[in-house]
Amino acid sequence: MSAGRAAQRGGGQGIELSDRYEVYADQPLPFLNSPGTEAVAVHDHRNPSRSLFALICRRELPPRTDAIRSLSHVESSAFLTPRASGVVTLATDQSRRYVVVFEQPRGDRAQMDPDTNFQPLSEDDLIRGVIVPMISILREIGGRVMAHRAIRADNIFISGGSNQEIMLGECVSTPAGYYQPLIYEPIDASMANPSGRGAGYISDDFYALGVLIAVLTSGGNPIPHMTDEEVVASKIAIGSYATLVGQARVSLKLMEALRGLLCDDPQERWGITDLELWANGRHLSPKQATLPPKAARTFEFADQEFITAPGLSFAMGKHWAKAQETLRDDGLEGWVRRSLADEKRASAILKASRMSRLSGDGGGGQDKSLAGVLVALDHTAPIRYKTVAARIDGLAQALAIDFEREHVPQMISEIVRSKMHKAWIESQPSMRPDFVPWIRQADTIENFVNRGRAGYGPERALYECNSGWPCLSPLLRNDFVNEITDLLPALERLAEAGVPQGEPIDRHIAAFCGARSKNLSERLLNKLADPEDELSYRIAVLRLYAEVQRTSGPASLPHLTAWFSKLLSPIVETYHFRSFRSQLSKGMENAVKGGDLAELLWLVDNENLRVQDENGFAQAQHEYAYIAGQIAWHEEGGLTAAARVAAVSQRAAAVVSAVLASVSIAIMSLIYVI
Amino acid sequence: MGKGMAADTAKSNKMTWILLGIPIAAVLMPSCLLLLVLMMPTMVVFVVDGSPGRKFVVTVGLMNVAGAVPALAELWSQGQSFEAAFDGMSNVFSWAGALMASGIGWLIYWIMPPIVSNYQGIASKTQVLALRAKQKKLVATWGEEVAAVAAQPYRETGDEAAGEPEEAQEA
Repeated sequence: MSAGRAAQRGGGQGIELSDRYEVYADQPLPFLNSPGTEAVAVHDHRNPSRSLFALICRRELPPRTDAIRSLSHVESSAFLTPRASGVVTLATDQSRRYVVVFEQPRGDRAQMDPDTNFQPLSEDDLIRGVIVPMISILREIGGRVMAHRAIRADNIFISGGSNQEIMLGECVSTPAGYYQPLIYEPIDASMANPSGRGAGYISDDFYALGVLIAVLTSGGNPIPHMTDEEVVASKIAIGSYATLVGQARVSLKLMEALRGLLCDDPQERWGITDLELWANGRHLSPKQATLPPKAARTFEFADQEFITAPGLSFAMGKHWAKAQETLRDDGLEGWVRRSLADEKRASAILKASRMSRLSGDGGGGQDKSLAGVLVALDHTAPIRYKTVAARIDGLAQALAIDFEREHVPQMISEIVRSKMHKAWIESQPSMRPDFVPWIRQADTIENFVNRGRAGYGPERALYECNSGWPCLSPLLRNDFVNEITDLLPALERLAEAGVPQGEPIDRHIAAFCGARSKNLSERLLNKLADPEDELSYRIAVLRLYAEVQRTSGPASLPHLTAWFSKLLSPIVETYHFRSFRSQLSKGMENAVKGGDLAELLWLVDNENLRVQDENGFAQAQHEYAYIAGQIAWHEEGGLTAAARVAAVSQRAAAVVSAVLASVSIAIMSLIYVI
Repeated sequence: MGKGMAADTAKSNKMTWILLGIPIAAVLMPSCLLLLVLMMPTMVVFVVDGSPGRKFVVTVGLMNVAGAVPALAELWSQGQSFEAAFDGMSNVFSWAGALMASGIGWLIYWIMPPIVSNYQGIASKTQVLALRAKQKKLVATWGEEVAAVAAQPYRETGDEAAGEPEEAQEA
């Protein structure tokens, strides 16, 4: 990563990136925009003939930096490989933005946007031009233990001509799956909020490939008349294949692949081996996921009749307030027990319903009970709690994306504190190894959200569980700081633009330091929590930053040091000894010049100097009081008092007399002798 | 040392003087007689002065001795006989010398208080100025807040015994 440096080239203004590329933020390439990002032209100094573009990312929906690192080594003509990335300073508003550089794809998007129609692809073009290249790309991506999560028709570039070639678009500029249209998502991900879909699995990509095939064969969205909610309800009721393909005319060969890829059970869904065998001409008979059992009679909810438990669960999750009313009697439990004949599920619902009624209207007990009922009705669905709906692997990402949304951090903290994630795992038919990291992640969230002090809380959970997420501090709103090494330089730039009035820290920055700074003593964060006064708090902040500077650099931060110096200048006044004050002021000036936070800390937090000052001051006060006493004694006539004058004058008279007598006798003796 | 022991020491000192004085008086009887007579003004002062330390007696006595020295010299030059001693006692110049010298002693004793009083007044003012300057220096070094303290009562004898506080450190 390199800081952006403005340079002139041609008519536009370029910003240098990685000493090789020049990003032209004033030359937009709108046809290459990805959702949530803006595409601009890029020039490669080493290979000027290459056509490149860069996507300018947003801090609120940051790029997948881990995925960029991993996918930058993919060498495939059918994949838009990230060539470079880094933070640049835009000339327009001086904001620092993360950019990802790609080679410009050949051809046009297969679909300009998810709602437009286009000429359907022939079966041959589809298999040879799309599915076969996609197999190799998915093998590459799966080998890196990650998922693309942006396989969709408007992210596929098809070059014209007789040898039609495709290129799969990028997937790194925004959080995984966030902008994926709902039809491309498996049932559980489509039930979740876009923020709660999580990084996902490669099986999600195979599902999206199935949807892509359905879209390309039908020349657009195969179910354009359905709303998002209807799509999910239909997928739950009749399955994804029936919803998306239905009665459409599809060849037997494609039907086989579509059935395999659109299987709603991720364990039964086709993977890379199945797809390769199929592409090589082997006939496979994909298993279809069993549809949820139908009840003997329907259950009425929100003016609709439901015949399956997952369908009802989805509707209840969407209509939270009405769902709470449903729990006020045992109707739901009776329906599950009698109509669905599911004793285990009915018992769980009964328990949750009673808990809900016992907890009354306040305290969130009803919400927690309802969340339990929803899991009991459909264990494959994501965790839903009030307005949060997230897959277990998407809890941390939901916290990060929706952090600024009202009550979301609180709701997620309630989810983990109430162990809803554990209840969800317990409801699964079997424990899968891939649950383990998500349990650990939820435990991490729980560990931190319960601690309200600065450096902890939901902010710390955010940064602990989302490794590449940038710091969301309002102080850094014009910057992109996703590594600890970038934090102090960002604050230095902020201070360089004019020393701000407030503190150079907030809860986000404190949590960011705690999460990203390795070997940072928790003691430094704890000191932020209980400051004796404002100056103690500022010293605690300085101590934290001095440690970050020591471990992560940079060596000199003159503007940030000046910021601290300004905030801590009242400390000089707390010293009594004027010489200390002037020494301290001079020392602080030197520390500012050197940009050394540790030196400034040593000056303002010097216990020895403080003790010397206090002792010296006490002694000076004692001396002052003693002198004042002496003055008072003199002014009250201590030295000219009659008794004192008499005593002194008597002594003086005796002395004078003795001297005079001695001199007289000596003179007389001399006269007699001579 | 106990009171009894001090009284014993004073008693033994007195005895020493008496034992030394008797042989001297015996040997120098004429001189002693002359001196006894010429020292009359001092004896009067001794009776009058009741002050501790009897500084008046010392002042007048020393000058009285000085005034009697010429008469004594005269006596010793005439062989220190009783006759010469009586001559000296009856000599008006011997008396004049002793009385004038005693008078000077008296004068010294009486003019000293106004002189000392004036001197003490000036010394007191000078010391106050010096002390104020010291306070100003403390304020300049430690700030106004150093003065936010009550004056410490000054007792000359007690403080002299305890000693002055150390100078405030200037680290």
